[in-house]
Amino acid sequence: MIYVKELCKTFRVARRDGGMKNTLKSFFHREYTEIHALDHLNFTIGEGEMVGYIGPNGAGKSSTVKVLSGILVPDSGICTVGGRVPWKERTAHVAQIGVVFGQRSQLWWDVPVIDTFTLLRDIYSVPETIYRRNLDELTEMLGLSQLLRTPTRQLSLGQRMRCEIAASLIHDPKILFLDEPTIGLDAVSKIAVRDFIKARNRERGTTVILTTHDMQDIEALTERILLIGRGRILRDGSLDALKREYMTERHMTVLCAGLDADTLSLPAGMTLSESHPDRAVFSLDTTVLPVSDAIAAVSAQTDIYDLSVENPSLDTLITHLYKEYEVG
Amino acid sequence: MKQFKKVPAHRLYGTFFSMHLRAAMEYKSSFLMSFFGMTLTSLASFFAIWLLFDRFHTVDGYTLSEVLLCYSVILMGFSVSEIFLRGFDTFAGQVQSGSFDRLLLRPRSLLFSVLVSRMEFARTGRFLQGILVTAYAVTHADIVWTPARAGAYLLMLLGCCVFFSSLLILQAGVCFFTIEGLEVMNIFSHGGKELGSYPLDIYGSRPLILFFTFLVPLACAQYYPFLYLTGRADCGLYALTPLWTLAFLLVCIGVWRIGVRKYQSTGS
Repeated sequence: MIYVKELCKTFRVARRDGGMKNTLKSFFHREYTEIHALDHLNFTIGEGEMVGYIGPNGAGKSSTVKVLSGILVPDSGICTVGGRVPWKERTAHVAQIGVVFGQRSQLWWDVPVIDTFTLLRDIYSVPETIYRRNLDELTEMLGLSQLLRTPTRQLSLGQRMRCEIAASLIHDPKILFLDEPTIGLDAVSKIAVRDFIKARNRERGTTVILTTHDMQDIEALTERILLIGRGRILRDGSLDALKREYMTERHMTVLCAGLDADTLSLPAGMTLSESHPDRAVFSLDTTVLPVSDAIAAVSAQTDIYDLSVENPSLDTLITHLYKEYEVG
Repeated sequence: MKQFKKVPAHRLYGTFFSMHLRAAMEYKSSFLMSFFGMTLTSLASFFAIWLLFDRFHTVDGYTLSEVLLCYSVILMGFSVSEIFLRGFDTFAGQVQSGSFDRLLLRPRSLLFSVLVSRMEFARTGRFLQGILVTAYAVTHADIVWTPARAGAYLLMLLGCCVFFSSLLILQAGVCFFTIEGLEVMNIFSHGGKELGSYPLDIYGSRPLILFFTFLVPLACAQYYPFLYLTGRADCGLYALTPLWTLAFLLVCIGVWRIGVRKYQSTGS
């Protein structure tokens, strides 16, 4: 579906030091620095896949999405989407994709949402029968029936995002690009949006590419992750494999009769990170020490009243990844 | 993938037109205020001409109704482009805010997408005034109206619309290279409007006429057909000069296209 090979894009950015003198100087002579937004990028995405595209700010995420959606022309490399080169057959290409920019609305601010939809129907030349069917389906799945007659400016952020997503799907795109679709949404709206995207992918086989900083989005939606940093794909794999590899640390909190930190003897792979009169927190390395052994070691030395074992968050994992690849 | 039968551009234009109209009507008082404000400000320049002639009767051999004939076509051309090519007029802002990216995502020609992106109905005040001045000038000028002269007048109107529209497209094209909209362009659009209120030879400057003939063809839309209309020139070619603005339009669209290509390759 999407095929990207050795894609490169370099931007020239004017640089100058602060101050009036340098401002004047740069007026006549500018120094440019080259930024490799995309540096020999390679990946393929199959039909019906749902992929999380992650990376720190400035890693090249939005440049990639712009190339894939035909807005930006790369310097070199191959990129085909559904058999087409996006920027060469722009109009044919964009008819097949839907793009949701979390921060950039395509709804008309002052007219009821339904008017934007009918306008999009004509822009994309969707036949009336297909439009009806899509609209009914989207209205039901996203709960829009009350919103369609409301002008966009009177919608809450969550309501607007639901309408925004519906607007980008009116023409039945084969591929959906989502750029921060849940940014700023409350918990209920977030879950509604996620459930819908999942259902759409499952039922219609829509290929979804999701860029986000929200790790819950990634966790809830995608099985495959593409990690980009400094214009390159650093990691391409399943979320589970990543977790197995990196989330080896566990925090074990124990409520107990009392522990003496000085006389405590702990097996390898286990350290005491917090100690209170009746509570202690240990960190475990599960590659060295199974959790059951850790529990056994503690219960041999004190009476355990209660115990909990926690995974570090996905955010921690990502931070760890960024650090390992020295990006971010 | 199935291809749907394309909704023709003129029908889509109609849909956009009614959308813009409805959006404008959402703010009735703001609409009315800017409508009247617009009418008043453009009336001021009308009165300036009127007062001048009240004192001197003719300027450089031209009568009031003759000058108003010039003024009317300029006014009509300027206001039509201002209402319908607002998307190009505010283009720099659209590029900066990124809403131009959204237009690139539509399966339509870019020129069309920008054209329908904005329409400014509050500016119809100037248009209305244009119609009034036109009505007055056409009925009061000492012109023996023949089909040929009527045709020449219509060509003048067309030429002025094309001329001012071309300028706005050029202005939009230039902002790909500067990002900021260039105020310099206003010299030609607003300056052209003010200069064009009178027959161009009134200023007695030959370089000015040459400039507005060959580089920025305002004179082709206004001065030459005007000479034909008032019987100062007999050659029929004078009546056809407004068509030259179409070439200017093509050049401006060309600059805009180059700009789009540059934008797509630099993304800024």
